[in-house]
Amino acid sequence: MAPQIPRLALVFGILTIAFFVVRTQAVPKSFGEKGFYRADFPAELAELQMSHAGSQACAECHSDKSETTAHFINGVACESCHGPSLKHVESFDEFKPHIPDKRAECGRCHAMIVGRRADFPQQDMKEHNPGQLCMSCHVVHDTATGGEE
Amino acid sequence: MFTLLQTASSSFGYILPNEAELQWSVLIVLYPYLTGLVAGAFILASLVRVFNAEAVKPTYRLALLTALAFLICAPLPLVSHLGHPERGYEIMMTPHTSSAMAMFGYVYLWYLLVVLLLEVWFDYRKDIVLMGQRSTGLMKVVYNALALGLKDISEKSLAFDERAGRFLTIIGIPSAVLLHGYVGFIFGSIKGNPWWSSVLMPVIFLLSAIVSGIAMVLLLYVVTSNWRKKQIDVRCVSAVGRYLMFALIFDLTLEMLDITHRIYEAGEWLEILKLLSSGHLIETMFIGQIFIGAVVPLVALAIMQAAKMSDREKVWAHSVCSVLVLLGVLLMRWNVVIGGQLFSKTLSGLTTYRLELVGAEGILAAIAILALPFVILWVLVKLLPPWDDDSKTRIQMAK
Amino acid sequence: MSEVKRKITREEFLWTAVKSTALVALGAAGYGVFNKASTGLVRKRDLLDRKKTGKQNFSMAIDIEKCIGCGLCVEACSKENNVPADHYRTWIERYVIKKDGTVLIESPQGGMHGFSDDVHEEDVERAFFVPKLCNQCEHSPCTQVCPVGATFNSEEGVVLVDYDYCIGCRYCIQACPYGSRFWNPVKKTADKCTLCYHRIMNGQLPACVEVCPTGARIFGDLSDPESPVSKFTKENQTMALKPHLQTGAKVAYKGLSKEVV
Repeated sequence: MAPQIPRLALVFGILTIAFFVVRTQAVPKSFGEKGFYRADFPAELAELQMSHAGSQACAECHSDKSETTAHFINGVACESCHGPSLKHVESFDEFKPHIPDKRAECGRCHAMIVGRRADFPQQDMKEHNPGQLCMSCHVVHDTATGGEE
Repeated sequence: MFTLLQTASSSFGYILPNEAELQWSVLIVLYPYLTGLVAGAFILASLVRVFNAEAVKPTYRLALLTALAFLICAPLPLVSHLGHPERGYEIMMTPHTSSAMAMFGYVYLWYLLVVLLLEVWFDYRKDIVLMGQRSTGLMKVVYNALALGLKDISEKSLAFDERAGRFLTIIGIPSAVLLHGYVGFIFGSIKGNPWWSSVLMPVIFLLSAIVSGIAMVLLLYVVTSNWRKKQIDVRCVSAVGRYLMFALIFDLTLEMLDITHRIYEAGEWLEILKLLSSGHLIETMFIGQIFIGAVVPLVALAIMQAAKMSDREKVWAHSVCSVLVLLGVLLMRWNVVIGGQLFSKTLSGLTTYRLELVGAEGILAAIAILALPFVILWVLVKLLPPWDDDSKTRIQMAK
Repeated sequence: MSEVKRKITREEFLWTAVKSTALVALGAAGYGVFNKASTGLVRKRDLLDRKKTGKQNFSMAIDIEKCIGCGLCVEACSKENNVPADHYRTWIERYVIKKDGTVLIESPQGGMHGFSDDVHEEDVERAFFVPKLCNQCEHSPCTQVCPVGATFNSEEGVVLVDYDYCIGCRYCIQACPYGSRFWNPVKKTADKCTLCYHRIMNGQLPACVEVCPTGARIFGDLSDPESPVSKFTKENQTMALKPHLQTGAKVAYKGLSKEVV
């Protein structure tokens, strides 16, 4: 046999073995258990910190608001206006949810813009009492209609 | 130094909010260019070995070393582009068999270790042993290591070298096709991108690779011969030029077929692609890639087959054609990779690519990556001289 | 002349023995490795049949007629998931079809701060909003092209990206026909809507569904016939985006109009 063959076989043999040895360390342990991915990952992802509490959490303490607020009754979540508030649920005093106080914040949903269906409650923000706070007439957290005083 | 910032808006129409920045930069343009040169140079070399194309012989070893130099550099743009280059090894550890890109690890390793390195080894082995005997000190150690400690250069072992080299060349040709073809498949298999999605994509990539490889070897042969002040074998240059011409004909035909087919089929993507190719891509595609990069050199090469020219004129003309072809193929990669990202998946908008000057994916980085193979080639040429006409080293070709 | 059979020398015998052992060892090692690597692949087919595993099949449905383009969903998602600026796990598009036939499509900052009202009503024939997100495709082109198995379809039907395994090649972003994926410059990996996996696996709704004031987004478990999304897709005519691409996109749209890209 030509002398090249055993020499090459040795070199490639060493490389191959080294590769398999490295592989035992390099491939994550849970890889392939449930599919072609690291099976541990979904559980890791499920542990991530949430920031929205969900409306049911608000209703637990603030049932006076949830039972009477037309928005809430119509399916608008508290956090739609008040922003992510899980921190408040976890520690009431340290974090207070955002309280909307600008026209633009109500206008987010209720401004008259192209694309909104006519049967959705909306106003032309430039014409309807410009400059005034919406809450000076509208009581957001009250009555079945959430309407004017 | 300054960077040109990418604006997060379209240049026309509607693009999806996540499409404001391009994902694959100039580095991804370079990778197929480099592997294309490898495949092309190797296939030219294989013409000598497998098809006994005598006229091309003076370029044989140079073509092999060129392929090796470019192959060594090929992973560089890819690894630089990764978000986590330190995890790049995962492609070897858990290659996802449904992904064409996963092929990279093993196809590259196969080609580097089994095809190219072994082929170079078998071809040069006798010379490596001889050079080892002649040198002293560190170089002696280097050459002995390169010879894998073998000192046998008997007739029998040389005959084995010859047979093994021939065998490797034969399996090297489909390996080269795979090495570069899979890149074309990476693009051609994406149904979500109508500029890329095409059955012809791997074929066009491969053919333009062959074209670029032949042109590169031709150019390097002329340049290195001039540098070393050696006689250029004009018969060789003409022969290589002829192969270049035929490869160009194939390449251009298929590219035209692709374009014609798309226009004829006139799918929903036609309007935006027409807009793209007549707008952003007009310079790089029609003027650059097709006209200057393919039509002009093809016509020139065709004329040269019949025209009466002096040797000097022939060499010059072939060199210029090679440069144009190399530019054209680089532009083809640009047009595919960048072009495919310049229009929105909504087919209703276009965006722009702002190439930075500095940064890991900027122009300077691209130039450095393009220059590095030549540096490596210089080292290889010093270590393993591919010339058979240098009386100083008194190396004969191993056939 | 007859050949003389040479006796096998000790060296030759040893060498052959070593070579054979090495070959067998390599073969065994290779088989073992292949087996380990392919268990995931083989079992995967079973796992896609969720009836067998009893796991959920989460999905979302969109009622286009109900969307008012407030963008609260985009904002909530961004805050819930720390989505980097100028990148979107979900977004809203506004389509304005003018009386002269031209279609204006826009998504200013993904609709995160709502839309402007600077389009003249008189010119408008029709207009509507379309929320978009990852379609959690059953045969997703993105998971198909991932070279390392960093993105995958979870047992619950959610397409996820393993941020600790993704190498950042961006192939999946290229492959997604819907533009749902994006490059996360902080994590330096691909990223996308996870249907708020960390919320839904703990009994909560995705953030976007939570804050949508009109109920335009409907969420649930498709394998539960009583879930909101199952009922919605049964009771309404819905379709997926780009159905001709056969991605198995699960997000079902009610009221999709021909202008939607």
